[in-house]
Amino acid sequence: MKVLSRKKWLITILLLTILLIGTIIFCSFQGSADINLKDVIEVFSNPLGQNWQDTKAIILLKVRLPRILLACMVGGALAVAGVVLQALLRNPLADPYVLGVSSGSALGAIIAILLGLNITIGVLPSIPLFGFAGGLLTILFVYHISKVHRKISVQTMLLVGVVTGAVLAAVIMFITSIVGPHQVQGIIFWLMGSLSSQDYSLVLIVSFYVIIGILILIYHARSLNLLILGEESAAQLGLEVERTKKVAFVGASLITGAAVSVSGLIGFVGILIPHLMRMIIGSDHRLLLPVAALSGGIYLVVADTLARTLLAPTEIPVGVITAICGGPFFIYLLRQKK
Amino acid sequence: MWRPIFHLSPQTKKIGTATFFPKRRKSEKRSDSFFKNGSQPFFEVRRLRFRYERSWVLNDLSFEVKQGEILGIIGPNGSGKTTILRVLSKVLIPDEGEVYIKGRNLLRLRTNEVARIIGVVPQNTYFPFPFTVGQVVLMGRSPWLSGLGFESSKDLQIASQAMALTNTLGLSDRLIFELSGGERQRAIIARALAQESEVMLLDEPTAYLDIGHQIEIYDLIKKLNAEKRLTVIIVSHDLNLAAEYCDRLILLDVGKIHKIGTPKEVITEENLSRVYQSKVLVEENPVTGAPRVTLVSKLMSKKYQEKKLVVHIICGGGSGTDLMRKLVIEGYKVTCGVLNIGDADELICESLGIEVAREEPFYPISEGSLVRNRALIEESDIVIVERTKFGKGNIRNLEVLLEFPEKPILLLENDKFDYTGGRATSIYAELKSLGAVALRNHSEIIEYLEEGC
Amino acid sequence: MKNQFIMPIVYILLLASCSNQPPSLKSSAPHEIVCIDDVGREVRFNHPPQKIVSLDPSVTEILFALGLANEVVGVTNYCDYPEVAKFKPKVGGYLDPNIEAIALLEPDLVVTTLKTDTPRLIQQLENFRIKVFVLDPKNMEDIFHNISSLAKLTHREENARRLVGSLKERLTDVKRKVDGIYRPGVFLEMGADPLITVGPGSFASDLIEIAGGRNVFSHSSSRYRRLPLEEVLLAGPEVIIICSMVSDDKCLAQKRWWERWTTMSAVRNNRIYVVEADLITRPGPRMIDGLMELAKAIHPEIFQETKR
Repeated sequence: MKVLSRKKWLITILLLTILLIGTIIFCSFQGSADINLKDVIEVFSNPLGQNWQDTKAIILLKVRLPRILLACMVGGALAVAGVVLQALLRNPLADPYVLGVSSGSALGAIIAILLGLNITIGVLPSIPLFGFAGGLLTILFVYHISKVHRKISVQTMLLVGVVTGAVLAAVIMFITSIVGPHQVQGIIFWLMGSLSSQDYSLVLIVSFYVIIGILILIYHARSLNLLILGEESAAQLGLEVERTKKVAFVGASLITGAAVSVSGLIGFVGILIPHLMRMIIGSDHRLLLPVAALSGGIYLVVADTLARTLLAPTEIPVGVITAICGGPFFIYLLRQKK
Repeated sequence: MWRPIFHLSPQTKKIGTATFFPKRRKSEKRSDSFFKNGSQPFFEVRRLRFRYERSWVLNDLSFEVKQGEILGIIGPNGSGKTTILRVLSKVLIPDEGEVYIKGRNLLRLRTNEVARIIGVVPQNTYFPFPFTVGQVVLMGRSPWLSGLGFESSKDLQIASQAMALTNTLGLSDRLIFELSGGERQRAIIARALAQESEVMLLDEPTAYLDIGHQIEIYDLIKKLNAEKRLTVIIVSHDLNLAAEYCDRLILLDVGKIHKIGTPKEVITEENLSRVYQSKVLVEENPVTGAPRVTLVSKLMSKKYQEKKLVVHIICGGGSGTDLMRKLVIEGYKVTCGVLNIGDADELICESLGIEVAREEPFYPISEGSLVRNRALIEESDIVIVERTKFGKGNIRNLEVLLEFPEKPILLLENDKFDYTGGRATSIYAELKSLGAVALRNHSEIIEYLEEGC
Repeated sequence: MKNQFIMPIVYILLLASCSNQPPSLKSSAPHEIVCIDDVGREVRFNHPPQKIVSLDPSVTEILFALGLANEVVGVTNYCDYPEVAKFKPKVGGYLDPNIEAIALLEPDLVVTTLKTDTPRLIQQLENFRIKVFVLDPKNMEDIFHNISSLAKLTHREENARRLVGSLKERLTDVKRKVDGIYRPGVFLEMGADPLITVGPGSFASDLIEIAGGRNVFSHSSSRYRRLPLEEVLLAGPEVIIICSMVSDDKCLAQKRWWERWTTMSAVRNNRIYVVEADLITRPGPRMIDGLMELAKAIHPEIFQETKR
């Protein structure tokens, strides 16, 4: 009988982590500026003391690296959120955006754009901050409405989430229709999703947040396995069902909110990676969650690198790359399995 | 061998040294429940009431489950069978009343603790994602694991044993949704077994299985009960299987216990027809002796309401069974005589509730029983003589008819029936000359009776 | 020598003319140029920037008009005027300039208009010690002011004086000519499908007013708004101006489409005109040209006859 041993778990995660680090390093070569291995080694081996006048070094450390790290975090967050929500809702079609958090984040960010609050350069830029606040409010709302007698009803949650998302999307559409062309451009641009370079403070905060969230969810991986059996069976196997549902919902929604507030709506990662990884390594969440996190990161780093290099200096929206490259590949794999 | 890094809970460590099922644990603090035969009941349900919405689904239930018994719960749809299982496994909290498990209040136990004692096999399962059978069975070890819970070799061993017992070991790497209904059910039972629980609750475990598989499952349960002292509570729609395999039965009727006891006590026509609102016939399984239920078409049993003729049948040795059934279905009141106790026809009378003039087993008809027979014939409207073989032992059944020349008599055409050296044949002839009607088969009899009404 | 006097004098003059706020109290070196941009940021230079990147077509036009063709080292994909600007290296689109591309050009100064992304841009470019100057003009005066600021930063004050002078002259000329005369109702079609017009606060609307017309939707609450055809018909404009961003054929088709609605006097009197969009939306020197086009359309009797 094939079973998940600790050894297999560690080895798989280690390999993927190495692959992720390798991808990060490789992708930091790619870009408009021509940076080669020598430059990279120079910079990485002496990150603090290097020549600050060296434009290439600055590009690498301050422009490319934060962006790559952000891509890694956002990709991992979306992939993990996708897996968790699919387990919670017992539905293979669920993705991180199904419960409306993304629309709430988008609305928050758009309000920040419109209010011209983009001008304040505090510790945190205001657009992601507002985006996250919007996501948070949406989570609270959906959570409260889907409680029936102090228990979360998963069917209610799905409906409430979908409806909330649709209503918020309509509000966004309305706003887009009444503002001027310049602002429309800004809004649409944000919605298409992009991983533009941010300050390290933001990258660190998002990374911290996402990593903690993912670790908590991984801790509950076995509970997610049980939850898929159905709430009744899970309880009969000893699972604290209500607590698991809460952790899953809040955890997945928060990391989605964090991801969306910095990157806009990047699609396809949250549904492609879960299914892809499930096809390869099976449905055991103890392995599936960390693998999804790492491979989601790898995927988005690669997609973002393609997005910013294929037609340089113009950037293709990264959501386009994730869909166009991911979609056909997925279909190919499905046919192989048959 | 890979040595586990994480600390295993004490229970898990204990399992490594125990055999497949733990030895019978000493009971913990005793409740003030009453003791039957000196042993503490495993489950004790007191005045349980539960409702989903407005109406009470479980209404003032009180019963006990003895350790090591197989208890069956039967009853019509909506009588609350599945709900009882849910309450017993702490999925639902009772609105009123208490449930004690081994003397402890069920509500005080944590979900985890309950899962270590009670394993549940649900009616059907749905898997939206591809799990292998091995993975599903290993989930049964959950109550004993914590954190990321990488299963130890002991866990694997227990799961393998469970799968071996349920004959699913060969399926361990197949995907669960590829299996047939029977295989899947066995895999789920394996999962419940892997829990190493003391009790197994099964909700209609054979609902989607064919006969062969049904027997397989029940035999397995019986075996586990016998070998491992596994207490089993099984909800079933199949009255016959329940009667065969269960030690005791609870017959539920709209949330209340209609009857609780051995299958023989519970499965009677009276109980079943009242609870299921339909006519049934209860007999004895000739091989096992357990009650056997035959359902009767409602169309037919309507006639039971009408008062009809009283028909007395002369039969014996199984010759009257068919006719008796048909007449009962048609709504006639049937009496019979004289039959030896233990005669096949006498047993049918017993289960159909037919009045019989009885004689000692294997004894020739005596005066005492004849008196009774005469009385029955007297009260009847018509007498039917079945295709019985007549010998010295029962010729007096025929002879007595000559005492009632006025009584309408129906004779069934009989062949090679005379073992009295001609006496029976001559009585037949005499009866015919007195006006007895000879008919060829049961349909004609029934027609005749219909016209007579 | 002359230089010794000129510098301090010019310095004081420029300081006075540059910002509307009182001069900065920070001490500055004698040769330092200090300017405050439209979002209140102070930009200092020891010597005029030699390499400038423009992140907006309007900025590109201003820079080229000031004679800074050689200093401009990078433009956006949409900088199409003057023609030669198209051949400059590209650093990205309108809203998503490529930081790496900008950094590689190693400019001294980046000039942009205020957009969604600007704070982040400034932050990122700070890593490279690249200075950013942000423009946010709201009206013609602001545009003149911007031209002067940029001239100050780049030591092209003479060019600016001439340019601004000539622009102001033309502006005043138009204002004078339309002073007091009847203002016909004007409808400006910014977008055809959906129908979009301009309201107060937008350049186009202001230009209509200056050109002697009356924007029939000047009561709008927003700078740009979508509206249904019926409102236009109800407003009954006397002049219709189509803003063309694309080829002439499209505009011809659009014109023909308007000609169906004969309830409007603009249609009956055949007063439908086409004006190039860039002229009335880009806040640069060519805005005066745009103003002239509008004036010709609204008051052909005063200004030259324009092609219909």
